[in-house]
Amino acid sequence: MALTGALLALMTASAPDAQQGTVSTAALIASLESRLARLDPQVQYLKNRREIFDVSKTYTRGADRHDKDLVRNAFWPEATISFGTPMSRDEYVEWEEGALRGYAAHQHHITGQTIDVSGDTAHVESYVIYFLVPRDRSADEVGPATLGRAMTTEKTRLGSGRYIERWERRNGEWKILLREYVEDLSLLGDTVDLCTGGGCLGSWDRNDLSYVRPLEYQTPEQRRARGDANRQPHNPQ
Amino acid sequence: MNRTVSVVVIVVLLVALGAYFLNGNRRAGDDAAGEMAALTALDAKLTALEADVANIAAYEGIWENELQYTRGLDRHDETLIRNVFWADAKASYGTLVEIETLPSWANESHANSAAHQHHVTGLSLDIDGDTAHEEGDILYSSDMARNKTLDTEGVPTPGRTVVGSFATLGTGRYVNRYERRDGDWRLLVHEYVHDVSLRLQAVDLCATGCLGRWDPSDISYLRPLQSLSVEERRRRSEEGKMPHAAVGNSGERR
Repeated sequence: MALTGALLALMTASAPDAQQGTVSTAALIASLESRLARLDPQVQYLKNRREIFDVSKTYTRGADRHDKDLVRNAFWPEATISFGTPMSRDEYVEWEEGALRGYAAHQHHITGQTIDVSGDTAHVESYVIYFLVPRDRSADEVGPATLGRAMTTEKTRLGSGRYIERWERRNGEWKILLREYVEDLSLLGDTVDLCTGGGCLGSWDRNDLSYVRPLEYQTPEQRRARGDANRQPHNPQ
Repeated sequence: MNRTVSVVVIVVLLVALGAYFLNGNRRAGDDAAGEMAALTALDAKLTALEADVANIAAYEGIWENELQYTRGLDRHDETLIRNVFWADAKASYGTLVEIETLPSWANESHANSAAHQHHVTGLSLDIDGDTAHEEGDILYSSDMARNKTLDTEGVPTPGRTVVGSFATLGTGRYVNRYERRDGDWRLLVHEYVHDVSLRLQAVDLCATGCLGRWDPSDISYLRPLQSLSVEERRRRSEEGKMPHAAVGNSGERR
């Protein structure tokens, strides 16, 4: 009987162990779930900011590289954009590229954004600084404009303003639905011809170095060849 | 004899039963231990993920606070300016400015300028628990002389540059100590270090259009933002040419 008792004691003694295991497993699952639930909105907040910043940067990169596809992709098809007069997306893409073609060089920097997200709508204010270098058009020929040949007798403009925008998220994708540009200040400085001296490596098409995959080291000769192409103000291809 | 046999049979049965249950329990125990190990591994992964997200969130939170500060300065929004600091914070642009008076002090000195904008271009961050040391790179222009000849009583608005005047393009750094309280990062020490000044000609923006405002009538406050007609833009620009509150409702401040 003592043996029976010992056996029964053994059997029942191991039971609470198993039971306790079940309880703490469930508790652990619940805690993991609640921690994941807390993580979710944090990641969502970061993701929204990251995605909106990325699309904005793609826009300025597209404008500076005269890559109309990149510019177009930042906006929804029915977007309205105004720098003074409201334009449709397609009008805007053409207008902007044409206007920027009139300069020897330009660059747009989006420095920071304040973002106010509410569901699938976001109100975004992007601070932008841009430089516009006047172009010597005296040697212009027929063909697409290229970067280079600054007009050193005219001033270079440094502008500072804001893209005030309403964004919309569709199928998980953020794009601009409405943009009003507000210029806040504008300064003028002496123009330097960037093609003299260091060379002007950039280009206004997909030959630009930033499109090269995989990027390879450029020899001084390769750099020079890229710079020389820009001293010809119009590229007849 | 029969009794002995019965006892032996019962003992054998009990031993078999015991062995069966013990084995079953061990198997259940093995399963539970396996589950527990998997959950513990998940727990460790989640802990690492939480730390990564917390790190990125701290960076974003501080970056956003910097941007709210410059937005507050540029819009003369006292609430925005005040909210980026803890009440016991100290700020200096040469001498100590009390947080209570910093918004009005900043707005007053910026109102001497026809236009100003402060860009935070990047941060370097050094986070240690609830304290962070941060350096924000700043590029700004804020001393473009404002034509005050038509000033009347009221709140100044940006606009009319003195023709032929110069402006400074400055770069510098906000050298900051941040503290996190209840999950919220705000400034505790704010020191401005000036690095570069560049003298450039000022362009009178109002010659073409000056839409920006130094109060919540600025279009960046509109919810939802609506497209401005050419007429509405023109009307706002015309208002911008009058530097003081004589026009419209720009006297409304929050």
